[in-house]
Amino acid sequence: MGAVDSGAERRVRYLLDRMGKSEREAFERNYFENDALFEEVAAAEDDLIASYLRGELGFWTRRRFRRLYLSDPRRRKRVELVSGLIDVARPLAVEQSALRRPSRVVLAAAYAAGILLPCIVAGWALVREKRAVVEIAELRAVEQTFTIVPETELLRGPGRAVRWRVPPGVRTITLHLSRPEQAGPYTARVLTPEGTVVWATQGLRDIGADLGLSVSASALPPGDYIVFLESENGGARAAEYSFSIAR
Amino acid sequence: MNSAERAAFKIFGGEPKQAEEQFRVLRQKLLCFFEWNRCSSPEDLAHETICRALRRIAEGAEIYADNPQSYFFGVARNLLLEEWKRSASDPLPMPENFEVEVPAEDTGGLSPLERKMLLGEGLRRLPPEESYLILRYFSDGPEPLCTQLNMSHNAMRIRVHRIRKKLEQYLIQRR
Repeated sequence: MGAVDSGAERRVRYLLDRMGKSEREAFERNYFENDALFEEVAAAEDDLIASYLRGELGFWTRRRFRRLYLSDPRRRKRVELVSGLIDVARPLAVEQSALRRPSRVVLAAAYAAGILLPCIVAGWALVREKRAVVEIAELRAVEQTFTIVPETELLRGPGRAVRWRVPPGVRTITLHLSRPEQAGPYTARVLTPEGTVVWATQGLRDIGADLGLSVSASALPPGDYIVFLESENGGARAAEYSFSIAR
Repeated sequence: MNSAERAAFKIFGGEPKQAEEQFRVLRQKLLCFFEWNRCSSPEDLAHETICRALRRIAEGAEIYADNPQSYFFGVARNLLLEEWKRSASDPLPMPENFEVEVPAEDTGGLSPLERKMLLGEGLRRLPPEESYLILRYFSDGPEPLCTQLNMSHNAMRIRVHRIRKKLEQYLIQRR
């Protein structure tokens, strides 16, 4: 267990350029001579990127990571790939769980009970986590787009659809739609459940198996929405989708 | 096949396909080596390393290391020292707001929307279990998956890394 941990720790120190000269040279010689070790170092880099994106790095490590990885176009590309994967897999969970705070009543009761210090410590940990969450949002917001995958059927009633929380700073929301059976191009309309059209476009074409509809984030305040796609060859309704943006 | 290539295949030995694969791995190591040493043009330096090493081998230099890749490491190391000296005498200033001002990477003319859609396509091309693994690994971390599949963290990390490389290769080819 100790050997594995120290190996993992060494790989991270190498990737963050925290090795001394002779240790670094020996480490590099090792991975040139050992294909398996090289693969472990490359895989450790994936882990490091994911840890950063999940907000798991300490302050100084995070800061060093940002200087090394966000200033280099090649490394930044890998960060964006992993960020894209996390985006696809889990758009909300990190932000929602980290932004929870204890209420004032709870804080008052804790103070009265003489347990304020642990609450301060817990609050500090929450703040640190929130900063990491904000940094994740900032990284995504640097791209200025946020992807939403609407449901492929209309889910009526509150609480039915997945609720998407759009990070601050996002300018464009991309609705990732599965391609209908009818061929395009399509006219797309985004409406509220009451029927108000908030966005519309024509000539939408698919790229591969899906379509992407770019909508200005300012046109989609928190609420429920429906997307209608109509084929421009005949005008029949090709597909319907729904999504919700959380408050 | 020219004399340099003959010399290269002689270094790695075996069948041409095997030598070609070893060369591919070597090139990947050189790229990572220069990138992890913060060089601004890893591709150029990796290419120069291979050219220098092959030139010396073609001129009759002997490889004494047990593993031929050590020879290339030696050449790369010297080239890195040259690069550092050159950078010290002719440094490129880092912009104040580097996180925003870094020029956009080569996206092959794709918008962020199209890149994301390509990522989705790439994921759908993977076997379902691989797509599930890579998404869950990066979003939830390794522990839940390692517990669920009874795999060591290291084995899981390597497996996911290979899936990511496969996905990355598909994205590069599509661009």
